[in-house]
Amino acid sequence: MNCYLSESGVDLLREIGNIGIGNAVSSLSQLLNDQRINIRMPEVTVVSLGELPDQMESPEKVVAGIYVEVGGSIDLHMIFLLPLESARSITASVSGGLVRELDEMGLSAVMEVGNIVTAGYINAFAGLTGFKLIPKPPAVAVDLTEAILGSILAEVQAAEDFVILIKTGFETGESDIEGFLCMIPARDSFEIVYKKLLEGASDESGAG
Amino acid sequence: MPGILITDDTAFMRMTLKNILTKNGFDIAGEAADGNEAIEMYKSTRPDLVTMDITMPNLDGITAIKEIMKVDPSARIIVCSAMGQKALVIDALNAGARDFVVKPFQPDRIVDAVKKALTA
Amino acid sequence: MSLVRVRIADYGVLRETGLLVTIGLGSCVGIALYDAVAKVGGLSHILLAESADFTNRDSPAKFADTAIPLLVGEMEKVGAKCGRMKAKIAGGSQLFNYNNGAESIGSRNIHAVKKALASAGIPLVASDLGGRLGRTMQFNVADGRVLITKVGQAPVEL
Repeated sequence: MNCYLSESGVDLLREIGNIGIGNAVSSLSQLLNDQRINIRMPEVTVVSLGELPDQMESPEKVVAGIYVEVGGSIDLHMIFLLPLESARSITASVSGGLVRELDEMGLSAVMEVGNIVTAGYINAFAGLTGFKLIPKPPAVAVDLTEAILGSILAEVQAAEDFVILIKTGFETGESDIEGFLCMIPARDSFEIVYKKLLEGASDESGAG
Repeated sequence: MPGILITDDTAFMRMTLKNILTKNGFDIAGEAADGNEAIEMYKSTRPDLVTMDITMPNLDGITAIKEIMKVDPSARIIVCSAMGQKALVIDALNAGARDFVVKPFQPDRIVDAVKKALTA
Repeated sequence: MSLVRVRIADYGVLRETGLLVTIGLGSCVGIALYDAVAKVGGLSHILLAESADFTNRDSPAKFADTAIPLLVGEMEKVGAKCGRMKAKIAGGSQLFNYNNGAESIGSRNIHAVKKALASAGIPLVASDLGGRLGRTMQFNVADGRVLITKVGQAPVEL
């Protein structure tokens, strides 16, 4: 069935989310001069395309969204969403105060941060599975959450009516930066991951 | 003196690298936004060293390294990418890169890598 | 007054009064059909262009070519007539900064919607399409007016 995910499947994806966001946030922390960043528990859900925007708190809020399509051993989609204030704070921080607005250079900075943070996530995922995961260049947009997610679903020509969403959230204590990092594995990818990690558990020499 | 050719698809990262390198006394030979531009600019400027991103539109960094090494087998190239996966680091080194700096990096790390590659 | 939110790959139909709202159309296209005589309005939020390009067609409201016949059929169930319907459409923008030279997904969606309207024989009377911004569409079924809002811009009425 389209919308079925076993309990062990959910556990596995939650663990991938944990390891991914852990590594992503350590990259982000380095970019933000070693600020402490808190991680929220990863949430794994199977949602219809129409329900996807509602998973991101307020779908009517304007956010900066970075989308990265990943290929290689498996196909997956990474989505990094930042409220505008957080995007501006991050931009100011990584540029040493040089760039404060989300103009062309500001968006370029947000895109580079998105690139580094999503790479942190998929590098950890690759390390866990032995997969080679190769991202395409990131794309950035500033608009309503729903418009951004709809555009991503259209861009990937979402053939299924349900997607598996692994959502991880983070926030800094001192500077009020928050955001979401989400992974959506392509339809067949989940099966490959599941198999690979189960094989890995029974055969130590599995991952290469 | 030709200096360093910076290759990265994001303008912000090119600006950051340029600031770090010029502050440390290096000249900038040029800035390339993808692998194709890097190859063309390598041929036209013959830089002392290239910093190379991996994930870029049109032509990726690893392919660009291979092409540049064909043009000049003694080319000095260091990778500067967020893709720190073992398999990709090995690919880049096999293609001819001298070093691999994983983003995010401290400015010192990139300066050290550049100095080391230039004296080797 | 009732307010019906139409999500991605979904549709809504109202009679006499009420608002049909779809938030944040990016490369998606919103299709508002109105029969002014029966005062029946329908709004569809399509994600993709042609159902023929996909093997999974469980959700007809997702594709331009299948969403329009579906919407027309649902409107006819509550008294509308296809021959009296007029269409107003919005969306089909390109939010992300791709520059690969290929036709954008938004533009493909717009073409597919226009084609599907033409084959249903429904005249397109107003539209707000393309560009780089997402749109929110509010369709007032009492009078057929459609209000379009974009981030940081004054609302436009269709």
